[in-house]
Amino acid sequence: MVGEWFTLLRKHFRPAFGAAAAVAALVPGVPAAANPVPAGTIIENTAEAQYDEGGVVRTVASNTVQVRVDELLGVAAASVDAGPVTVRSGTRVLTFEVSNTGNGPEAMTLEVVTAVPGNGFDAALDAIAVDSNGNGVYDEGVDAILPAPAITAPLAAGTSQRIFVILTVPAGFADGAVSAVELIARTATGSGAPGTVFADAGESGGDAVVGLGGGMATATGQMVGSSSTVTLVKYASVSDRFGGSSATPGATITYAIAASVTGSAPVDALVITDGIPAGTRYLANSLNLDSAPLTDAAGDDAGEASAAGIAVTLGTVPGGNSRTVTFAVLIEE
Amino acid sequence: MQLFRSLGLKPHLAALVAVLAFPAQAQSGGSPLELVGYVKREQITTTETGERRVEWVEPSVVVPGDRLVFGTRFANRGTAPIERFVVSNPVPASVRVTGEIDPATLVSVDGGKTWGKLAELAIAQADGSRRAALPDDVTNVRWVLPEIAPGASGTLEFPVTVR
Repeated sequence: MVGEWFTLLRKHFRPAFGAAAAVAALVPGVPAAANPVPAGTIIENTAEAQYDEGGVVRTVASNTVQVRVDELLGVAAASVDAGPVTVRSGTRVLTFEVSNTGNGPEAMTLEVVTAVPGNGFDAALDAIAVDSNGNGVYDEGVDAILPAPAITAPLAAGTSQRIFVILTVPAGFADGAVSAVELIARTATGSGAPGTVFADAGESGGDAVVGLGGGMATATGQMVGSSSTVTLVKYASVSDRFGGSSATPGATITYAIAASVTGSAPVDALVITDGIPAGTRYLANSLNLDSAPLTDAAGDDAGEASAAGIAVTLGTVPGGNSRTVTFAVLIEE
Repeated sequence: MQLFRSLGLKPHLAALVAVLAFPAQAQSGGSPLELVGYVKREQITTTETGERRVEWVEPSVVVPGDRLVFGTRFANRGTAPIERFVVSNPVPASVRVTGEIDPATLVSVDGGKTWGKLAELAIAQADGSRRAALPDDVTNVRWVLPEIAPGASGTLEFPVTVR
């Protein structure tokens, strides 16, 4: 009975916002603000009434209602490498960032998936490390490896942790093959359907509630495999003293060495060396790189030449490019 | 004002209320005014047919982003009218008032120094200009009722989101 009457009363006395609230509820749940109220906060509300009773102003306070804010479980993850990472067979590190988007301290459970559908090749996971010294790059022996199962130290609400995924890239993939690596982070207290409650598992003795993201986030790092190769082709042309091309004593042999880099990625520290054939001697100041002359002396430019042979330092050569080194020798008489 | 009109136009309701047997919990200091605060949380469930159903429940679990309603239930348990009835409620710091607040509610955006309807208030900005006040700016809410007849009762509510 009492309940019925109350309903009747409220129909008439409730402020108008009730109707608006029903409309707003059609909108999906409102995400929490950037700086959510910390878990364990007690929200207190008290109303105070003043009124006139027979000419005397009286004041009455309502009871204080208390609401304890429970722990919201939320995590975000992102790849922080600048685009796809070019990799060759061997060890490679991908860099991620995991953030606690909840309102209480929370450790994160990390999982790495290397066998992602669509991959041209799959790397093997060696280890997951945290950026112990906070410098943003992986320092072997300094940044702590997380033992399996990989769980970070608790992250304060709103803070991030840089994560390194150390991989072994296999050999034998096609040049330009791509490979995705996923880092999955889950709130360690629990994850699952949004709204799932883990009773008494939250900060300050409260409950923990899974946020809209399900307490889980996945970030994808991309690798592009490079199997760039260097091809060297050597040509020789002879000009004799009589205007012909006979390899006779006193004739000049000009050698051309073409270095071609094939594949999608540059090769680094490329150096071309060649010896001076027996029965010939190096023709001074004949060394050229892409038709530009180089001195014979060492150290002043990319090339050096002596009676023993020539060496030209090409350094980094992009994929699809070639460089041509030429030098000449005299056939000894 | 809408509230009061409702009270005034329904005298028979007041008569009904007068016979309700309420516990004497809020008879503070012999006052005829009963004032009971409460809080409810919005709970949205999806039915099997995909319909969203909104319920207002006891807030056993509350997290940032949740929508709450703070309310005050008032009743005149005396035999004389209560006059110039003013209920003031500072908005707790950890919540913000939402746009569903009754536009007729008196609010303050400066901690209770000045009052008005939200649409009439402005906020001074750092560069000296003023902008219209938003629900988020509300620091206090207030309701003014000229009279509560003996036995009459009602509720006053404002909606918030947990920051």
